[in-house]
Amino acid sequence: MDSHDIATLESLEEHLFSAMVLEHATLPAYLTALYSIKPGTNQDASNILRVVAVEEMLHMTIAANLLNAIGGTVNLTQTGFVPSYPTYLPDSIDDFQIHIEAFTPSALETFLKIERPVYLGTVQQRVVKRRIPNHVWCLSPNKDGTTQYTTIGEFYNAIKESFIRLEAEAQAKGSTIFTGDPAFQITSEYYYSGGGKLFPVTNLDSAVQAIDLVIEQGEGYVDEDKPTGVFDQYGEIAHFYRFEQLRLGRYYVRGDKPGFPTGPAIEIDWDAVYLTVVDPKLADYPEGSELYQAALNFNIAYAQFLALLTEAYNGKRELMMRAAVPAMFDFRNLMNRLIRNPAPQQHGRHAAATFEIDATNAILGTAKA
Amino acid sequence: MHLRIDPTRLTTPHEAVGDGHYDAVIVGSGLSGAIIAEQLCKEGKRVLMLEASPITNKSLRGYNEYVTNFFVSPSKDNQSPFPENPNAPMPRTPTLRKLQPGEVNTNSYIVQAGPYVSDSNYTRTLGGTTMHWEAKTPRMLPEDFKTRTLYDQGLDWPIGYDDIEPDYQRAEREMGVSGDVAALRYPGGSPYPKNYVYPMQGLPLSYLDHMVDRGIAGTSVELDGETIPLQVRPYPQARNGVPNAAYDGGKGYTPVGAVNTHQVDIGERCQGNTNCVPICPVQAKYWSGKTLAKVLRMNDELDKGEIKILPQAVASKVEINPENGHVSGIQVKVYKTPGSPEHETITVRGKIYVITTAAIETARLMLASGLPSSSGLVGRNFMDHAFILCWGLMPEICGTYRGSSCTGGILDLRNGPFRKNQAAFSVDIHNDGWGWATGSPYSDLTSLVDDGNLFGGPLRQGLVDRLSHQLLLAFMIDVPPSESNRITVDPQYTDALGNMRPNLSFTTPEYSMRGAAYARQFAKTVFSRLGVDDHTQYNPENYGYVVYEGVGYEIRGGNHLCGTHIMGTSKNNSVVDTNQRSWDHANLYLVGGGSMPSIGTANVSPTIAALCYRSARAMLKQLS
Amino acid sequence: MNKTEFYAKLSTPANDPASLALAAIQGDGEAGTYLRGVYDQFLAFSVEVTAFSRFDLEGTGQGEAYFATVIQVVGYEILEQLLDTFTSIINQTGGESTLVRNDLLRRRLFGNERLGPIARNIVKLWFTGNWYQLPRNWSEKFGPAPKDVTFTVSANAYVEGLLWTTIGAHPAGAKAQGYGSWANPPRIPEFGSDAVVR
Ligand SMILES: Cc1cc2nc3c(=O)[nH]c(=O)nc-3n(C[C@H](O)[C@H](O)[C@H](O)COP(=O)(O)OP(=O)(O)OC[C@H]3O[C@@H](n4cnc5c(N)ncnc54)[C@H](O)[C@@H]3O)c2cc1C
Ligand code: SF4
Repeated sequence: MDSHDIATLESLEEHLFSAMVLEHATLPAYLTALYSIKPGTNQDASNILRVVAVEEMLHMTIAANLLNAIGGTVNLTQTGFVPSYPTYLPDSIDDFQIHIEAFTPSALETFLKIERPVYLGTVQQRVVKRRIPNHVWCLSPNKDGTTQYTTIGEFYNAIKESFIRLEAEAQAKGSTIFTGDPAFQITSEYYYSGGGKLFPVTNLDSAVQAIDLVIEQGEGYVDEDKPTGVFDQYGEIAHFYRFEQLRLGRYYVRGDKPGFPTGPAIEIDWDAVYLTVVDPKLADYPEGSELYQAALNFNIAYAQFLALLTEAYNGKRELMMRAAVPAMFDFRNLMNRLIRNPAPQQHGRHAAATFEIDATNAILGTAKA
Repeated sequence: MHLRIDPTRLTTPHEAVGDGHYDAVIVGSGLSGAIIAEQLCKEGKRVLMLEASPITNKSLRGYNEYVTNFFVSPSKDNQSPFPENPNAPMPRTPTLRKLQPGEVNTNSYIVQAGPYVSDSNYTRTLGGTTMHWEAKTPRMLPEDFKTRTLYDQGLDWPIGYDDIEPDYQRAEREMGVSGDVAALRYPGGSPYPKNYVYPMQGLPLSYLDHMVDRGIAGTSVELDGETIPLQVRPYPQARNGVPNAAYDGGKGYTPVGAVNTHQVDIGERCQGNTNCVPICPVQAKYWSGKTLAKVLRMNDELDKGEIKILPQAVASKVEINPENGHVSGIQVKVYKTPGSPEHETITVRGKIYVITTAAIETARLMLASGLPSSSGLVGRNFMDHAFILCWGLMPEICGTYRGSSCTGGILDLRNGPFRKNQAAFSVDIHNDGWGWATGSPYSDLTSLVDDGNLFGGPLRQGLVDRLSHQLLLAFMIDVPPSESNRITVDPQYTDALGNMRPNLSFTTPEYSMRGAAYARQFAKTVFSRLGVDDHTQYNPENYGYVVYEGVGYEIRGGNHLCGTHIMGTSKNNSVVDTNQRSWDHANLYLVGGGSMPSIGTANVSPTIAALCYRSARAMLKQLS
Repeated sequence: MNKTEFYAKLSTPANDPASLALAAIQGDGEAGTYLRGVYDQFLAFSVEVTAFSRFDLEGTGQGEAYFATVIQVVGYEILEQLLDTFTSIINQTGGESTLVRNDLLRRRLFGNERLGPIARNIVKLWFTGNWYQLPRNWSEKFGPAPKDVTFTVSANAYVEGLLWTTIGAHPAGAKAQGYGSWANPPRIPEFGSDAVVR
């Protein structure tokens, strides 16, 4: 066994929780970029950002299903679940940071880095040794965090292999790792997000299928054995290539080689965007102003939403449809309202949601241990 | 799925004429045209589809333009998404006016000869009227097929409910119906086969529905000595909901979302845009482009059948071979742009001809071709549901203006012995407030500001008080066939291409007016149980105003166009047979609501769609 | 762009009024400062007559478009007169209750033959995105205003109409609230506070 492998069920649970953290961490960035686009303009970019954001939410839910399947605990109200922006991603230590910012060329470059494809290699190639700066949250196969996965896809591959091995070990002893309550599984009946189906994870097959879906929708494979490239076998296009279309100014169509799209042209009007304060903080807004209050209210609503999701992932599935989905539709309005307001003393920049959830919880005194 | 109408799928007038190998020429791309095309292509047939309008909505951008047209139209009338096209015009409500006795309104596309003015409409565009239908999909009742026998009213069908029940199921699959069969199994409802479920679970009832139900559940009304219990029941609807795992013997169902998109997955579930009429912005609502997308995929990927679509092609004359009465071709006027009447006239040919242009246009085309049929019934027996609206304010906030146009209603008065004396009805609870009746919410806002002199906080409170309490009950009333209710043509009245326009003469039958009068009473009863402040007011200046037994009502058109080429048992009592094949012209099918000899109290499209499957089987038999 | 240039440009049909207005109020120098002042007054008036906060109003993204619309249709002089009247009412009633202020607003603004219909139209703009044609007797007396017909300012103006926010609903065809949300009670925002509902 290699030291980079996820060797115990406990470690697998940690990894899956990290997967939820990770999938979620991209949302504030994608949503801010999406809503910074002035309504009625940049249709193509809006569509792409929306689809990707929606799928990240789906991936987070899949990760919850995987974690619940092996009897782990899902808790999104835990301190640190929402990172402080700018933030590194697990595969980006020393590399790039992700920001809450408007839709700009540099934001697009960041998105491409987030979703960069998986290069399937040996386990040794899968991780790199880097020094981790202090206080930076990261995904790492070993506790001390001295090594990290090179891409999100590699991270999921490690999870997949761990599922396979741990289940084989359990089976050999006449047991299984899939001991979670099937009534905790969120399926399409409870949550529909457009693109991608949610199915229950109850055994190894469904677990592997779920992980593959996340990898294929996210980064896509670049691998000789899996010549799926731009589109997967279902004709779906991975996030990386979705974004790359914006960089290259053209849609991919089936049969295209990576880097050479031949579909309809895409035009981007970079000026039709509200430029927002980069990585905004409540402290950037005048205390006591309507803007400050609205930004704070957003954080409160978001913290409540995470608490609600936690309940939904812990057996109250019906809350997904009844409360969580309407809340998501609501965030669109709340974020838009912030983004359309100029932020005073910020050089003409507009406001945006700050996503300072831990700080908000601290203010409210509701932070959970 | 993609609605990939790429250039290879479109044909030109030149090609369409030159290519003599079509099995079928289908006129119209609506619900009926699309289903027939799908059924024929599935069996490898070659189809030419004529569509009168340009097909801009084949791309998402084009579709979204329709949505934007609606947004920027201050009147928000229900045809506002669809641009004016003098070469293939459609009825538009703002062109209507009240008629004085003997007066004719020739300004509206349908020449209104009165005495009753119909504000019903249909849409001439790719997808036809499914672009702007509401997509409520109840089935007809078994009794609706034999009203003459049972109630001494109207006409019996030559087929019964059981004959088309399996085709209802096919239609419900194709249209993607969400519905709660368990809640719809009740004495007097449409019987469903044991174990049948709809493809998707029922859409949740609205908060407003629940408030109404709370007030009436457990109460009843007396009618003709019968006690009828009241409750709010959900409507089945052709909009995407939660797939039902039990569907199709446990195989489940995969909803079809928006079809003309590129890398955008939307529309697989209704989001509650509350805009089903006149256009669903995400295509969660069924429109026939979804069926066309299937046809195109069948052609492309499965190499099955072939469809060619000729847009901007207005069928203008059905040509007959005098020797055998067969149709020898269809004369088509193909225009260059909607802005100019410039066109070329061609004749296209196939083995069979299928006209699916909906009751009014089909009658218009037949009559303009000099083909009233040997029974003389083409254009006659025109039917449409008569609606009366009753509205008021609920005592509590009910959150009106959310959800699909209508999720629930009162369905227990659709049938009963009373049908001997008065028309049955079903009752819709409108989630979109008083809009249909009064122009709400805009009319409320302007009146609170201009007449109520409110602004600031009192205005906001006023809006909540006025809008969030709104309840509108729409009574959809049965209208029996009558030969004098009819579509005719007149060379005096033509459109830009010189095609004769439809003329409508219509009187709401007394039987239906009795139903309407009872409906108004019924509404008062329900309102009194709910504590509703009744605001219903019928304005003598409005075009739908009718006085019955000294009391005025406003009758609105139901947009459910039927009966201009009814089916029957012989060429003497009908225009088409039970397969919607013309008695007179053996290779001609008139497919659509026009074939229905009665309308009952169900929205018509599931029945229209079901009949399409029946006809397609006959066509395939004829073609083999 | 100085004030007169801005007002003149607004009457050229080819120009996009909202972006012109935006450029004008962000402009440098005296003209910029002046126009910013007028726009601020316009928003202050709008807050007063809609009972939505300035944050909510700016949150629609329609402020500049409505500002430009009023000027385009009835001219800047009348708008400035309206706003000056408003400002003087506010100055006069500083520290007094809404009731007192509303009395004056009615007597001097909404009840003013020339300004009343414009004030009401600004209210309607915010709530629906529609400019409504002014009453005939207004045009006869103070007109003519060639652009004074009923129209929707833009697709987004329709979508951002505050009417819908007021009743906890959404504009038909946009800002959907999600599958099944219609089964819940509506969430009607409190006045004067952000539309987050508790
Ligand atoms: C506002 C409204 C709400 C409705 N709500 C419901 C409902 O809730 N439930 C329900 O069951 N039904 C409803 N209906 C009725 C429903 O829309 C119709 O029954 C259905 O769409 C009929 O389909 P069709 O294919 O027969 O005709 P259409 O959909 O009208 O299609 C006719 C087609 O023929 C084309 N065409 C017309 N003339 C020519 C010509 N001369 N040459 C070439 N092409 C031509 C048209 O462009 C169109 O594509 C509603 C209708 C309206 C208007
Ligand atoms: S409620 Fe909305 S999303 Fe649902 S069908 Fe109607 S318009 Fe479409």
